[in-house]
Amino acid sequence: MDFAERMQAVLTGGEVDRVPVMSLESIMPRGELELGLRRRGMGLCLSRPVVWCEHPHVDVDVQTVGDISTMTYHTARGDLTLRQRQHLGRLADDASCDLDGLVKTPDDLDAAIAMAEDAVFHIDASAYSDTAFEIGTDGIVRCDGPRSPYELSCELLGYRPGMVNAHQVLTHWHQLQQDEPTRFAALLEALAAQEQRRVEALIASPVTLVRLGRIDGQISPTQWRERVLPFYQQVTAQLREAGKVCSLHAHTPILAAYTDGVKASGVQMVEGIVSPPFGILAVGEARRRWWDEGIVLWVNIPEGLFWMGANYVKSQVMAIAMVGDPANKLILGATEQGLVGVVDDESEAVYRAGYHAILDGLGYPA
Amino acid sequence: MNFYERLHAVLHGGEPDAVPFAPYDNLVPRGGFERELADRGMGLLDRHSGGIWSEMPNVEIDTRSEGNVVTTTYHTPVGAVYTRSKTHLGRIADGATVQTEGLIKDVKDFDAVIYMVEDTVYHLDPRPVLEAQRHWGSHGYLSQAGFGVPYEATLGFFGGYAGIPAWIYAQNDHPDEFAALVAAVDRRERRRFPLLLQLPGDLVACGSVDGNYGPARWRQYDLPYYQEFVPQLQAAGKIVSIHAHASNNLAYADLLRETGVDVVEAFTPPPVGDLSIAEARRRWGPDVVIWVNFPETVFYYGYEETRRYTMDLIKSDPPGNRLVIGFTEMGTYGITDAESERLFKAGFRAVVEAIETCGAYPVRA
Repeated sequence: MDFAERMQAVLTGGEVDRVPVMSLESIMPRGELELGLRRRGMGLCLSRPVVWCEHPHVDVDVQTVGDISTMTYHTARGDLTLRQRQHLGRLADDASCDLDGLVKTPDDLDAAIAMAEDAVFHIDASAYSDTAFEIGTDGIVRCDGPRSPYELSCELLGYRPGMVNAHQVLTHWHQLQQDEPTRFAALLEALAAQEQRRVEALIASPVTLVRLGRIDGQISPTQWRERVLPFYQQVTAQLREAGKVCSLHAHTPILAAYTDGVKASGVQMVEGIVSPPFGILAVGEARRRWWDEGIVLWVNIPEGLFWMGANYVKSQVMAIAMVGDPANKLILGATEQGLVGVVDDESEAVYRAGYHAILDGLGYPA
Repeated sequence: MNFYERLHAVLHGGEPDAVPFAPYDNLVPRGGFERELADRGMGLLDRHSGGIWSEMPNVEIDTRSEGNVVTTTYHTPVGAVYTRSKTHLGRIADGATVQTEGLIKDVKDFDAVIYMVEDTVYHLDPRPVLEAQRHWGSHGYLSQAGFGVPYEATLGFFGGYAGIPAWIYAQNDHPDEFAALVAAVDRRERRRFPLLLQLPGDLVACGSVDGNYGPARWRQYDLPYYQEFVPQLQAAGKIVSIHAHASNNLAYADLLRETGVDVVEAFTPPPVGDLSIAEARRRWGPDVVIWVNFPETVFYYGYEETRRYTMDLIKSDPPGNRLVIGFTEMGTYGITDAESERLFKAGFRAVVEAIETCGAYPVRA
């Protein structure tokens, strides 16, 4: 079997000869190491847009001073600004990070609602189709799909996983919900309508695999069930009806607390699962809790394990693969750090050995 | 030798084990077919643009989208200018975007554009280059964006290829303004040049021969720039290449020699170009690296003819230690349907087969 055949089998409940190894394209830059891994059988997951978003009544100004760009979005109900630091230089020439969010005060809510209401989606699957042709049997292509309004509202205030000042942003977000319940509810309503328009465009597009939102852990399991889950239940029903396969990126280390919610979400794949000792949900336990739903597990092998040596990685991978029904509904690979963790000769050697140990542990030919 | 060592030997005057096969990385995208070719020795050239970034601190930029048309307006203290681009056009161009209107549409636009050029400030950050070198390892080679030749670079302000008529009219109708623009770009490039010397990496890509203007004008405007800056780059240990993708290179052949560049790349031999490798070698001497853009139209003659054509190319330049076979213009982007997929894949395989058959160093005529 080649990688594409293995993935087809995993996603359709078929039998595989080996557990597929799949890594996100964005964290596996082209070059000697990733080519070597692909030669042995690793595949890539490439994300490409199939719909694009237009805001016909929003003008954007960009002012750049030094390496900081300030974008101002002029809406009919006020302006929103976002600051980005550019030229951060990791992996991509245009790497940047947001320094704040579009919504900074309650006064920004009306403009944020106007932007959401103005969003128009158009189908353009050319990048998706071209990439699918080019990658051939070495990967699969998917698109980013709808995300829950509650999750999006958090990002409008500037939240990103791994950000330095998450505490400050989350405090503002909670305060906004307390102080402006009516307008915050109106924002969620506008975002829900925006995402529903996105769903309708996706359904009309040729894409099969759709990634929904993330479980970062910043929304508690109770809140997630109450405020996020209903949205995913609604959209997965529509997307599955249209023949799409839905996944959630569940990279929180405390995923064990969300398993019931994930089970009820209707997704067919959960990706970014961080196995112990870095996460608290063992793969065996995840299999046990989600077996009836036939959920495919895409497990991220934590790169921290690589520093324990190749033999340790190999034994851990073999242990994960042997849990439950070997090689069934399971994918291993890199979803979080990948080669971003390579910064010098020592880390390059450690990561090279670590990634090859994953393939060794799953019986891929050298 | 691995790919990197092979190409490094060719670029540095050494002895490779074989003629390198080095398409641009974007023309052979990552995937199963790329892996098949890499297994047979192909490596990739990454034309890296990181390492030096720029800003215009006193220019404010507005972007407005209407459907798939994006209007970008640059506000300067001496006026505003704008470009229009069509987006979401598929693989017609990198980024699926084509500029339909350049910055300069009228003589009144010159002042603002000159202001933007003068306002450009450069910063050095070698980290993206070092990281790309690490990731490519033996599978790729980096070239760095070198100096822009001012006269040639001004075409970009008129919308690139789509703006050639406006660019020509402007030179005739507004010679003073045009000369001021060229002078401003010259000053900008001189601000950037010291940073270029500090960048890591050896291969630097400088300017091009497009065939958009004749040899006399090229000699007048472009050649002096090469003659001034190429020796400085070489003294700093750089290998200088020029992107000579014109189909009428014969008319520029002696000029190319006078530039003093180390590498003439995107060199497209007959039947698409009019300058053969043998004639180029005769004019340029034994040390200039000729980096061939393989003409994909040959693929339409089939596998065997493509293989024979490639072998003839290689054998025309013995002993083969200053020759690179590449794809610099179209590559697999030319695949648009089942028929072209069959022809192009067969063609690429024929090129590899020919290099395996007769590309070992020393190549025998």
